Amino acid sequence: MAETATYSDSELVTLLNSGDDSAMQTVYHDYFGMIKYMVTKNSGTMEDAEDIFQESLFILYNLVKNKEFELTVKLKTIIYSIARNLWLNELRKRGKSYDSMKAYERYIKVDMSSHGNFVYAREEGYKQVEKAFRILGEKCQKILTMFYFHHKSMDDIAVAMEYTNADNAKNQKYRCIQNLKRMI
Amino acid sequence: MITIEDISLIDKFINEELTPVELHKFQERIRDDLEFSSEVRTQIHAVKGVRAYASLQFMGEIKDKMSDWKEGGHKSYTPSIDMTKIFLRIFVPAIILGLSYVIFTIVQKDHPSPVIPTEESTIQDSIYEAPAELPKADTTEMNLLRLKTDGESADIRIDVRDPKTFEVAQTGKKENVYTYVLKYDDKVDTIRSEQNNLVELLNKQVADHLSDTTKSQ
Repeated sequence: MAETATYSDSELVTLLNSGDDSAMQTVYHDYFGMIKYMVTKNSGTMEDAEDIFQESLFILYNLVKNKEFELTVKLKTIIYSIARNLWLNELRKRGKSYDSMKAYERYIKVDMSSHGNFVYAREEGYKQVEKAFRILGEKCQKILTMFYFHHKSMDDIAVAMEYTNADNAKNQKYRCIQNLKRMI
Repeated sequence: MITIEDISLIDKFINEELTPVELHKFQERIRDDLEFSSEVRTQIHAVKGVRAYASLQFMGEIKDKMSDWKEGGHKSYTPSIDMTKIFLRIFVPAIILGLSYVIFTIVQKDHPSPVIPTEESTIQDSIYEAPAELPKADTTEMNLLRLKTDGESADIRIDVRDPKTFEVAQTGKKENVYTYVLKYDDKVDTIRSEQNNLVELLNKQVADHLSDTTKSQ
């Protein structure tokens, strides 16, 4: 069995924020069992548990990226609450009863707004942007993804893209978004 | 003409980072500047698209990573014990049961249940509770008639000083238990027994005694 790093909750949040893979792996190692238990005990399969955990990680990542995010409860509670919401929605969609779904852990209300990105991806208007984005070029794709999705600062983008300074990165990002807008 | 600063301003608006004053100015400009208004709409659309595309890509990356992490395994999980629930489900009923028992015991003390014979033997009436040692006559033991209700193992022994005064009568029967009233010397006793022949038995003992006494005289 491969070694998994041990971090405190606040360290994990910091590392998740910076996009560190080992932090995500630790979250998987520590909490996948809990989510698997919750899903499989409530009409779900192992595959459902994996899908729910995958989406939960995605939402958790976006959550910690938010500047207003504060770790006021255990990370375990946050990830359980996200997964529970997702699984309840899924059960509703499948028309299955979820009244008996028990809370195995404490849960809280979590901002699930980043999940809306997937909803938008199914809308008609998205196809047009996707097409334009694909022909934009790899460099612009990276810059726009780093800025708009990963919420990286211009300094970070400059380092990652090997620009001499943040202003150059900002100019490049301006050109990229304007090109995209022209195409849609 | 849309400048690089306008694009940054729209980004701030999309990310909800404008101060109330900046937001007010921004909204006024949208109302008054058609080119800017159109630029805002397009940029919102583009940013939404970029985020949706990036989300799908990122989800794919997580999926691939999860396949790798699977090999490393994960912690097994057993639900945590909620002490509050345990307290409510186990201790509260136990406390209620305990209290009920205590209350029941107090009520029982105030209203003792009637004594029900459990052995096939003679039982002293609870109203006329027999003393540990039966009262002895003022005479010597030699002069006493000892009436026994049931052979050698009888637990009731009646010491009669003057057998001539002895009288016995059956006064009642309840659930196979017979009540007898005994009168002798200057006493009156009530006894209960499952034997229904105590009148004959005791009278016979008295008669035998009197007969023996007469013979010896």
